[in-house]
Amino acid sequence: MDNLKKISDFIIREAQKNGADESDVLIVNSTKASVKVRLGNIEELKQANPKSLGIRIFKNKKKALTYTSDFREESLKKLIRQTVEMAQITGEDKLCGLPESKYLGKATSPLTLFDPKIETIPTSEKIRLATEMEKIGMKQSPLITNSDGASWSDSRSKIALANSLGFYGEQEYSNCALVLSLVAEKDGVKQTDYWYTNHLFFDKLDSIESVAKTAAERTLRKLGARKPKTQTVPVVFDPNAGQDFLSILESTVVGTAIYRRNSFLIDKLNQEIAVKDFTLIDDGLLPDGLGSRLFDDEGLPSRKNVVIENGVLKKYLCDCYSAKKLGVEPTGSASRGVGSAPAPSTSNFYLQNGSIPPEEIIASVKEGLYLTSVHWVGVNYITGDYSRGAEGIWIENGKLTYPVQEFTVAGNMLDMMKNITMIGNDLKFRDSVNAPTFKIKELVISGS
Amino acid sequence: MSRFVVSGRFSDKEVIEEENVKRREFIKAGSIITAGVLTMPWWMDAARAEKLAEGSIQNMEELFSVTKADMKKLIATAMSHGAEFADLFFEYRISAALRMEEDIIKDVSRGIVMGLGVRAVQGDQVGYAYTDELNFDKMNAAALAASYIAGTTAGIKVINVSSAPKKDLYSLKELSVDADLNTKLGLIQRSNVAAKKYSPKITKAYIGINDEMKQIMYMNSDGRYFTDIQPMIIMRASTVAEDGTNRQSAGAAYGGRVGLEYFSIAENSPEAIAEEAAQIAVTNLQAKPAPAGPQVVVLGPGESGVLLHEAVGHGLEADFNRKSLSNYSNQIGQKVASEFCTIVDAGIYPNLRGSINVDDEGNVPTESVLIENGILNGYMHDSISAKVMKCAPTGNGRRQAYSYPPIPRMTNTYMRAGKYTPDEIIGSVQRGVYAKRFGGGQVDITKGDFTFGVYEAYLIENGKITTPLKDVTLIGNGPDVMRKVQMVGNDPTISKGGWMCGKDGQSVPVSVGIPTVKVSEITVGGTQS
Repeated sequence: MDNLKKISDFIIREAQKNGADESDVLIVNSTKASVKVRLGNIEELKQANPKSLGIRIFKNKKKALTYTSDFREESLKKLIRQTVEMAQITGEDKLCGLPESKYLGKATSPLTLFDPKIETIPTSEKIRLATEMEKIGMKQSPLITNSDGASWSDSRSKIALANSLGFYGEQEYSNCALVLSLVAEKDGVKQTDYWYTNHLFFDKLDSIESVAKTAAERTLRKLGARKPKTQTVPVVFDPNAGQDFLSILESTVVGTAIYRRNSFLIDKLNQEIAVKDFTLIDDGLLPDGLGSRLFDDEGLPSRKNVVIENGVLKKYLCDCYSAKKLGVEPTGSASRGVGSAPAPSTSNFYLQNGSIPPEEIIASVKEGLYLTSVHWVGVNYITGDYSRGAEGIWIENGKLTYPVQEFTVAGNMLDMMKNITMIGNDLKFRDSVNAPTFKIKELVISGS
Repeated sequence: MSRFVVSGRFSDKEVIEEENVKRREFIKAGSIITAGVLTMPWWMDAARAEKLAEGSIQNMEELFSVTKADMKKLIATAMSHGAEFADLFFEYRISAALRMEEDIIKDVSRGIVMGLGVRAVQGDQVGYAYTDELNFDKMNAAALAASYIAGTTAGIKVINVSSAPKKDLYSLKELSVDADLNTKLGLIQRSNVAAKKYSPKITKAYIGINDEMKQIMYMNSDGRYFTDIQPMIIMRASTVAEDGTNRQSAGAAYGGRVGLEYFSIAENSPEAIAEEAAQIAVTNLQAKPAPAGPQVVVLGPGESGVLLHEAVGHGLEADFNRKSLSNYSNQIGQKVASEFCTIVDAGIYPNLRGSINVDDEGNVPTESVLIENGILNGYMHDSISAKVMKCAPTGNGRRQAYSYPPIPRMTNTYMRAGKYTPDEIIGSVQRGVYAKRFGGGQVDITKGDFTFGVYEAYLIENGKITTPLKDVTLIGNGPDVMRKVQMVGNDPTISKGGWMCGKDGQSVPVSVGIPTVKVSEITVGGTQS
């Protein structure tokens, strides 16, 4: 079976035949290709066309989930029978089930998420782009001595979501990306960094020249890094570090974390938790947004949710289950893979642009840190305690001076949000989580 | 972006849910070498396979409708543009999960993933394609797609198939994916009760079991053929402790390539898992902010092995070294750690997460001594790096699934025992930090800088472990820290935790281990100066 509508109809029907009260099915069918070039040679060519589907069954307020890449009719029949049987093992949970019918639907937005051009690009052109990009990057300085490779990747995914209440949605997405990683060396110390461009549309990718130059600049600026002294200073988060900061909010502002009491944001609804300029948005309908979609993974229309408005926490992002647990409305934020149940998640999550040029923010710091990269360990989601391994550039008298590494930046998320003193005007939508440059009054640097 | 490799409990959102972790399996000094004889192996012979066939285990050739002759044809297609080597990796995997939350079994799931990955290799160039379609034409199309890595045409090579040597490191009574769900349910309920019983401060408990059975069939153009059935199970407990407005959460998880009988051993019991999670959460309610800046650090046994994994292990994976991307490149024979450090990677011990009968390209894992008494001895290889660097493969070629080509990966990485008792080590520290349980880590391969999240840590004052510390982060440079190792304990321990290691977008299960170790200085990322 290959027609997504036909398969999903079959599954919903079989589930009903086997005694399910409700059911839904998510099918994902994609095409992927990638090319990796290193030092001018092709290192890897990859190609595939994977498919999989996930079935959820509800019976007597109990539920089960199964998934498979085997779409043969007999295999599916057997799996559906198994799923209904498995549901009996779970406990009764009055809140589980499909969304109420009134919530179901698709956003009426002229979003286009698929670029037919990508499929027409021959492999030779993908190889050329990656090869050229690496060549330009390596040429930027004699200090650039090695490459960890340049890669092209693209994918096309078709998803279908159907449920026994009659919802059916199909959506096609495309994506393409170029990434370059370089190595520079000075005084026997190697440094590495990378840059990338990622978009739904081929024509909207950054040029290979700009990716190559940025990758080279980011690598070169790390040469001669020192370990800073332990001290308390103002910290300017660049958009990269800001993205990490938002990703912590991404994990803690969702309904699941709240009802599980596993978030520093519990019991904070409608309270002022950040400075006035801090407005945090999750927009599932952002044009060209890498996380945009017309309906969420439970079949609710996508929308723009203002999560924090002028410093006040306005809502938690919820799927239908966590919304019921918290006694609030769902926000169209359900997200799932074929092998997992829906859970709330962000789509295009960003901190609203401020008004100050980033150069002015840096210029305002007498002595402090320009934070360019953080490591992923070191956040306690339940207390908001933050202690990230970090890299950056030291600021002296309002100017970027020497690079710094091998230290941590520590504070607490709730204190940090109340101590953001400047927000930049440089918001760009490069990823699905984005922030402009911003400054935090002070944080503890732990170094030598 | 491959320079950053991470491991631990939380390598992505899915992993937070699925692969919470844990620790500790005592292997006495010296016995780590002979651990292979502790468990009686059984061979996955035809009779055994037949007996198990009523369950999840499949006849792979029937399942994929291919014969060995078809497989040879696919290899010929993959080599049709002149590749010097090709291989086929068929995988059939069943994954299951059962989870309790708020005293209700809320989630039960089961999944089937199956497909074929075809690789064509020319020098160090790789063509890779995979398919989940179960017919020869689609498989042949994948083989053809992979073949284009090589640019010429070549004659067809005749393959004489021979089976790879067989052993069994998993030795279990029954595959857990075939066990009665009620048995798993019973284990989960016991754990849930124990978490609540531990302290009235425990307000939430989530208990889950995740397990899988991965069946693989492999053939390459050198004629190597093997099949294997790899089990994996992890049981985890997460708890939230509250005391007024003060809240903490913590998790614990035990498991390995074992069956459910593993949990009937007292120290692996569902109660033990819950109690460990509850103990950390309750302890951390009293935790004080950690000091900031360089400190003497004593690494507790077992989990601290994640430090070796990050600070040393990844830098010694041969792909980074043949490309001169590692801070350990071209340093064989040189002193890269203090003389007390002997570090080994060995996928050869029964039932550990990183143990495999055969790696994902047909090589049998070995015990690789990476660093011996501080001297760099060798790297971990897959077939390509071994060939390019003219070494023997070490059995470290692993892949997450059929959809990925194999790359050099760690298996079980640990430090061998030293001569001090843990008490002597802790007693030697006037003031420092005792790091007991880790959340995970990250390393920049090229410069060697790492970060670790420690989620159970204590202050050491006058040779004694005292106050619990909040959320300690350790940061440093791998070779630098390894040179500062001053004392190594006589208590080598392998962590029981469900460690997942991420590299190049591929996650594989690993084990880590270490004795108690004293490091003269690591930067602690606290808030108290």
